[in-house]
Amino acid sequence: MKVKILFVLSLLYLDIGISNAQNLNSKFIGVETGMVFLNTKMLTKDYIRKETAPFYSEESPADYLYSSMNIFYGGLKSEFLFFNNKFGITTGLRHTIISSSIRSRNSSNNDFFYLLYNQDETSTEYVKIKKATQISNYIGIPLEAKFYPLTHKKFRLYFKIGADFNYLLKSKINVEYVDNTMKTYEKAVVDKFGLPNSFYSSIYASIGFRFGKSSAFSFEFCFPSLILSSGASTLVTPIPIASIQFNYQYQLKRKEKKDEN
Amino acid sequence: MKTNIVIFILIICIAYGCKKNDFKTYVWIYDSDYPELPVYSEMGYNTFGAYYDKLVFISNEELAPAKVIATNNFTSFELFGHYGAIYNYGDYNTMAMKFRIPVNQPKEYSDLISLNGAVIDLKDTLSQVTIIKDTSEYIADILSGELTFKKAQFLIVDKKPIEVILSGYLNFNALINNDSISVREGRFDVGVGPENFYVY
Repeated sequence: MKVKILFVLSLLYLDIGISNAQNLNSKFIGVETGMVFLNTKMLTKDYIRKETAPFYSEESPADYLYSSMNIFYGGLKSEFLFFNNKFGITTGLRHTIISSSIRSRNSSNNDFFYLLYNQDETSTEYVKIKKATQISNYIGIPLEAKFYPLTHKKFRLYFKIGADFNYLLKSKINVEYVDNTMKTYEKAVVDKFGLPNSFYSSIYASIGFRFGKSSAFSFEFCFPSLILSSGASTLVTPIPIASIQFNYQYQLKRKEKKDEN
Repeated sequence: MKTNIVIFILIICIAYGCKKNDFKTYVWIYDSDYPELPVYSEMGYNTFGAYYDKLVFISNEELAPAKVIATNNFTSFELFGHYGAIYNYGDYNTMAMKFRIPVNQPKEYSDLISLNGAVIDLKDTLSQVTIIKDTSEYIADILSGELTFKKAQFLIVDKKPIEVILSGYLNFNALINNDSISVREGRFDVGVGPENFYVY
């Protein structure tokens, strides 16, 4: 808990530090939301069993499962423009939800997979699972640098590079069993999957379009981002394709100017 | 009449109550040291493999890899597969090994759990090894060798016992038609349940 409080305080400190910089032209505050489109690869798990023939045995039994992952985020963000509003730095506080799931590929034989959850001297115990979904909540900061090469009336084109650094707040796994009475053994099953990494970080680059002046809306297309930290999901390995982000910003008036007048 | 109806209802209930074994998945994981064989496992992967002189005798997807037959005071542990390349099998290269083992005769498949840790001396006079290659059947004159049931355990799915997993090793030297053969690096990990356990 202490770590989480320190993390949030450090974000606020960073935000204040940047806003106190001397060479700012404009300052915006706003909200952001976005999502990352991903491909996924099923992680090799020796406790997940599916049929494999010799021809395919270089793949894990887990390769016979369908996997998916979604990343959504939203948050508050400030933007500081300088050098005649040609460059900008944004930062803020971001809440990211990473949802990943695995399920059987719905073959003609079954719509479940087997998970080994207990093995001792006298028995090996499996549970039949239809679907397992892991939902993880991260809190973090985005740190982005923007370049505005083109301005036309209220329209601005920009390029951006950025990174985000996130800390795991909470993670849970929902399991759909074939036999619901197996919920009794939920803890043993969930423990098999484990917890995702406490830290999640990615870097990205994008092209964006901004409309408006003191009150502006922007949207941007991100090129494939690079997830720096592994283990954001204990079910799948993410392969980012692209992402989109929407922002609404409102310009803050600067006190210094009033003082000068 | 009432008794007949009760018996009929009981039969129906038992028939529906019996859990069908849907755990016949076949998981082949190569042994990195012996790439023609499946890795030794104790998971009920329904695979086996051994070197049979220069050939390999291995399980395949077509045949149930194992059966246990208990009859006339004998228990027979039988492996069915083919010889040759892993992916190359058919009617032309079927092969089986049947081990008559001197153990207490099981009455039902769950009694096979007593095989846990059993080491069968195949040279024992009560043991017998029969090899079926293509359509020919040979009784092996065992020179030395053992069949080891390293682990016998229940396979439980959703808290219901499904079968007994028999995992172990297999090695022997024998004469067949006065030709010496050796079976080495044998390993098996097979499930035996109501479908492949026979007693009569």
